[in-house]
Amino acid sequence: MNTQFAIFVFLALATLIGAASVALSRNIFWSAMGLLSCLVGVGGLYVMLSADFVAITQLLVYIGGVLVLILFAIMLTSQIQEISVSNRSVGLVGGYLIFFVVSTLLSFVALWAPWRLTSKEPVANTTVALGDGLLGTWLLPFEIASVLLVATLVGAIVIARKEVKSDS
Amino acid sequence: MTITQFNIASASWFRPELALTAGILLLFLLDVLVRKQSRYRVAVLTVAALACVGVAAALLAFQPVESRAMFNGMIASDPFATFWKWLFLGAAALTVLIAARSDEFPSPRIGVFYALLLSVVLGMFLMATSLDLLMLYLAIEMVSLPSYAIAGYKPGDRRAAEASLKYVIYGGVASGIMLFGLSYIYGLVGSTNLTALGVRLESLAAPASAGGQLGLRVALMVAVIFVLCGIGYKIAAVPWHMWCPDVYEGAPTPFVAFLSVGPKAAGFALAVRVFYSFLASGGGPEGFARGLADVPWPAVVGVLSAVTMTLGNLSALHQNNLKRLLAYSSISHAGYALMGLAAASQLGVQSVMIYMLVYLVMNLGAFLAVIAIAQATGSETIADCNGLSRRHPLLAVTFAVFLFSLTGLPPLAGFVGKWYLFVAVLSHYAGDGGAWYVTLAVIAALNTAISLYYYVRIIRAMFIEAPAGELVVRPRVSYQIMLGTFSAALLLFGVWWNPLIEWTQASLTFLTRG
Amino acid sequence: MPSDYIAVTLVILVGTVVALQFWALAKFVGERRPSAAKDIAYEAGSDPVGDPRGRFPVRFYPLAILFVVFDIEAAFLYPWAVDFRELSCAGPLRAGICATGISLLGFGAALAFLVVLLVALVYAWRKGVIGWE
Repeated sequence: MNTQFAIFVFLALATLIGAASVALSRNIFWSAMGLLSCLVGVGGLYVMLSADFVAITQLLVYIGGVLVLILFAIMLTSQIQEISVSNRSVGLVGGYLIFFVVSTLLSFVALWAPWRLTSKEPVANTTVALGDGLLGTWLLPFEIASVLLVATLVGAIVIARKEVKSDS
Repeated sequence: MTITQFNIASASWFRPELALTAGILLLFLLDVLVRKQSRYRVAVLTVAALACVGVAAALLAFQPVESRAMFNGMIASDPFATFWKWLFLGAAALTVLIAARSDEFPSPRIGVFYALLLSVVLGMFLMATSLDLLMLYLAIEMVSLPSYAIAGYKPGDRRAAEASLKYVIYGGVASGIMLFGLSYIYGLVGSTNLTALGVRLESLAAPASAGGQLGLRVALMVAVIFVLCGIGYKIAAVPWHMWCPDVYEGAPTPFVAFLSVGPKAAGFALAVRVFYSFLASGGGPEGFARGLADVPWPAVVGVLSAVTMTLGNLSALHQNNLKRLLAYSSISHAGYALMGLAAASQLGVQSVMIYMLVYLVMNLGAFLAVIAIAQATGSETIADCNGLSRRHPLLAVTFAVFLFSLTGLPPLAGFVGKWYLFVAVLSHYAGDGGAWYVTLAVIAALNTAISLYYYVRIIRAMFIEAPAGELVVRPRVSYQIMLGTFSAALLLFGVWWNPLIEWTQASLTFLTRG
Repeated sequence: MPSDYIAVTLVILVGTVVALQFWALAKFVGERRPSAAKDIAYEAGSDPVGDPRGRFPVRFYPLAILFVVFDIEAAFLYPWAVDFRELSCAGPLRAGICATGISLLGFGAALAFLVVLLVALVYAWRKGVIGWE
């Protein structure tokens, strides 16, 4: 039990510190690395919740795909270090105020809300259960997701091709 | 019936959406197959897009009238959804017709626009029908993601890039916050089904400890406010409206015309369904007033409504760009329509439906007039309207009709829409919190007066100011026909509004709670 | 079961230790005699051309998007593939054997998913996203 708690604390810290460095770092490359730590931490938390397939998907899609995409986008930008902030209308004071109010509120909810907890045994074979769910109860979202992916891909091509043309 | 059999049975009730999906895929293929040099390219693609909308409409006409949940409670098929689907298909068809003759979509790039537009329409169909939190989120993304791409459609234009970027950032934050709120609801209730949520939330055992009770209340409040963020962003209500003017200014105008009516209407359809499914407390929509977590949600919506219309109208006063002016005016119209939601009654829902229907015609018309003016003058400021009545009387008169209708003056259809909103709100004057409802109505009346000021600024420029130079304004024939038809429709339904009332009355049944 | 992850944890640990150990060995044990020639970035023996931190051409971007989309597709199809035997059986499986006859529904649903994504691939291919001119 204690080892489990220690692992949880480690993963939670990796997630939180990663997320904080995404927001606070002045170098967007380090922000991306913070995101890596955050995503790995979340993946670890999935493992602790016995959601092994979701954890693998997190690794495959978010770290292998989305993070790579973000790194590509960073390589495309001209200014990686010391980004200039053009909009200073919300100052540090306002930002900290919002941060403390919202985080207090959310921590309060997390601690005191009567969450609906189940004490069921973890699913033995989550991949099969997910397959059943995706092609059974959740068939419509599954199929709609494919249309959404197509529309997104084409939209991205439209936006990016425009720049490719003006590049060459 | 097993899950699989239920899915198969649902597919036959899902035909309009299937037609749209097939149309989207077909348009993507046609876009790469029809040659870029071909003279018939625009014609072929436009006919294909219209045919797809037409087939979907034909299948929609055969949609059965009884309400039922489909695909294991993912979406609903009911008269309420069918009403909104007609509205969306109408907006899509008109947008296709407007875009076909617009300068902003050159022939190589128009096919993708049609396909992405139809994906947005499919997303709006799902928004108006979704009965499940997951489906709801997927539907909102389905509307948003292609919209981001279309907003940045103009190549090499900084304003288009700015529009797209702002839209993505605001949209991403709003949907992220909404998803977080949905996760709270799931965490408290253990179900994602909208029809089950209301009942389960009510039977949620109150925790024994005082801290637990407060925790439950705060959790529910946070969850509902976070979900409101996602919906408020879609209808561009006030704390979440900032993206609106910049996106409207930078995006291609035919798409802006669609954006100002389609996704907004879909947002209202979703809001009605979400609010009556778990904010209402049993006994049908009339029980809405007794709120979840002891918060009077209709009052919250009422405050949002008042703030939205006031801020939208006050910001519109100083705009000189027609598209930015119409953007702020569309924010204020979202505020008016929220009055119907705040009324929290059958009549309120019906008035929202009537208003969105009328708003569709008058706002599309106003944007069409802006497109016609921009095609002649090359820019979109109020000064470009100077002396329009002498250059092209039809354009000037129809634009004036749309603007007066947007203000809500009789005998135009805009008056009918506003009248029903006021009736819905004022029917509460004797009940609980009647004074507040009267205050809301007074604020709306004052706002109507303010809005008259900036709409009349345009009309003054068109009819009183002298034209700046010798400029020929000759809108395309199809635009002239549409301008004429729209204003004739507004005049007709401004004096003979029975069909609107009957149609919306018949469409008032919808699945809310199980 | 958390005990299932002991092997994974071990691999991660061993990987980290091995990587760190090479770095530490070179740093603390190795001898250092820097020279101008050694400071040049190694580029297949020839002198380096340009700054390695230069910007990427934007045409990498659609490719990366394409990769993410098909990555997600793979993630969706994996549960379907694992569950394929059950989905292809009209009734419940008994001890891994289907006695009730074949059902094509599971296959058809995944096929529909794939056909839709195939359109995306055709589009990207015809628009020249995959090729490099």
